[in-house]
Amino acid sequence: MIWTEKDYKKGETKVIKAKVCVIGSGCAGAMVAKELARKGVKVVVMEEGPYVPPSELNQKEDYLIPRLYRMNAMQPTHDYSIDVLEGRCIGGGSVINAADCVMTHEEVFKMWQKDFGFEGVEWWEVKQACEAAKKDIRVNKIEPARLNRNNSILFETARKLGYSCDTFEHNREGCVDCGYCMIGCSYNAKQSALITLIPESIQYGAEFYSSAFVRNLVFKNEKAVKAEGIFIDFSTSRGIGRFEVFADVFVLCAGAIHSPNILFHSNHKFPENLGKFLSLQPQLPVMALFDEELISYRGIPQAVYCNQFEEVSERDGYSGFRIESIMVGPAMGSGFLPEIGRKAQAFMKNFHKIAAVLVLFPDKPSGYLKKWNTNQPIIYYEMKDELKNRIKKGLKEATKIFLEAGAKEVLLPFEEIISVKSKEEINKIDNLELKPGLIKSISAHPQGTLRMSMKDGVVDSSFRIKGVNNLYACDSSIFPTTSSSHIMLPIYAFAKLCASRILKNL
Amino acid sequence: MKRREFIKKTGAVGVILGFPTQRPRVPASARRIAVIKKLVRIVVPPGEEIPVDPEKIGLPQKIENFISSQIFFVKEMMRTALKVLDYLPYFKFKFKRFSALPDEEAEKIFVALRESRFTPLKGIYLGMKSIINFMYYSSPEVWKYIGYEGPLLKEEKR
Repeated sequence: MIWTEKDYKKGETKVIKAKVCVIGSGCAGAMVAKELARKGVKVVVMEEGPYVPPSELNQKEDYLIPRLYRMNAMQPTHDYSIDVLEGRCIGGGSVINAADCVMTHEEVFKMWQKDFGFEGVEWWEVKQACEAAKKDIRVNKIEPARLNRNNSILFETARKLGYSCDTFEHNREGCVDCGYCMIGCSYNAKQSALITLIPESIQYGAEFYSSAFVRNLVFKNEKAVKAEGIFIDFSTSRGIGRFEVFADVFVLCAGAIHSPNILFHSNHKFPENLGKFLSLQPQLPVMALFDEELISYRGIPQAVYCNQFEEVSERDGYSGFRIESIMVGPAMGSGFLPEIGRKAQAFMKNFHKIAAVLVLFPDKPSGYLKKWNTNQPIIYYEMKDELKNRIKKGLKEATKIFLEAGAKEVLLPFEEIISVKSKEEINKIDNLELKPGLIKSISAHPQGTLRMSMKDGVVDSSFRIKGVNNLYACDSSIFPTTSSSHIMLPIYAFAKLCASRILKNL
Repeated sequence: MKRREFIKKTGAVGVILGFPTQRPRVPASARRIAVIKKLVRIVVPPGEEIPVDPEKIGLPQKIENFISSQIFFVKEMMRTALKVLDYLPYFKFKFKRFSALPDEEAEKIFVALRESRFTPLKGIYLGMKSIINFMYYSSPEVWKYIGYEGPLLKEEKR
């Protein structure tokens, strides 16, 4: 069952009892809930965001973005350099992602084993968990025949230039090419947790509480004993009533920004690196104006990647950059507009003739979270010089591809209009200054704030918060460094492993 | 004079001076809407490219409603931002509120915020710009001018 706002009584404190309490219902939470409920464990899942059933996914950005995204998809870093996108609804990130499935490279995992001490977690079981997760969410490869014009531009031009390029594996079935994946699939084609793992969990007896914001955990004798929080009325954002969840085991699955925030506000002394080692994996949009009508907003939004410049090694993990096609609706896309007034409108007028890519930069952990208020920590993140140099290289390559494809003008992701109209102008990118807040960048893959590491981590290799036997974490916060270019599949795989460890210890 | 009597009398004087009854107080929401109206005229002005008047489609009120629906700390941050913006011209010796400035002057003040060294001021520029653009380009009245066909779902299903 999914409890919603209308089920909560005003002013009441609801007491909930379960064997396991999962906090967060995204990829990690839904997978843990399903795996445990399947074995007969009484599970409750507390989700801060509302329940937006598939029938309510109406393809309207102004209706859905406030309901599905944290802070209306405008969650900034401390200096406004990066918008950190996170799902905040039943199903979490799986409802609003681009459905791309890319598993952690073996080399990256081996680096984790070597550098962070992963005793008890082996590559073969990660791989096995990944294959099982792929079946759960019905992963398949996108056929090149399915590409829209925006994706074809990258696919054909990158190959023409001799670059390594391919279509993604994704978790869609029966896609109708509407293009609204990032505001929830109205046709149940995207196999998000909302239509796969969550209904299955419910069938096994799990209960989901939507609009249930967990504020903190209460500890007694080195054990988490209850989760406290409030039910929120979405229309007013005010509290309806309170809740207390008593459970034997608690699992943090609220994402790399909010899992640590719950611990910040709990009465316990945690390992000192709580909230540190944040990777944001910045993604910078590059847009190009063509003469022809592209209608990029229809079709699979992100179907093609160019991994020519990606680097993977056991020594350094995942690095370099990759270029991926992308398009969103006009309201969300307007977040990338340079300038204001008529200059911005002149560009937006050609929305139907715009192609776009995101250049994705796997980063070294260089951010951290600072306790602020119960709803939100401050996200500190600094772009190091090495990353800035890579960003310039990435922007140059994306520009080169678009100009080769016949773009009239390529617009770079800056607050002022900086465009490139010919190949001769590409080198001017080297001289650009990447000032905080004045470059346009998003992060859809925050990771690492509850680092899994026997050395300097917060979580040990049995997925437990160090020093607390009954508190686990298994969302993207546990990855010691950036895990993959798309984190859905690694999260599902690690959540599966975490569930198996919980079952052993119950 | 006894302490209690002193507080009573000075308090009364303070109240009389601080809240003159002749001057009606403008509700906070009306003040905010005035700032939002000015911002909207700067960020998404009606013109040849997109001839949609944001005021005619009720954009300022939609933005005020959007702000009011946010969780407490976000709402307070946004409301404070509007207040700061309204008084900002006084620090630039303009002696008028932002909402009362001519559009060109208001635009100069607003655009200058993005280069500010004081991060919260930069945040006001980026935040307000994002919200206005978001609400404006969500409006069906605008779509036909940007070549966007809108949702595929039929109206009865929405």
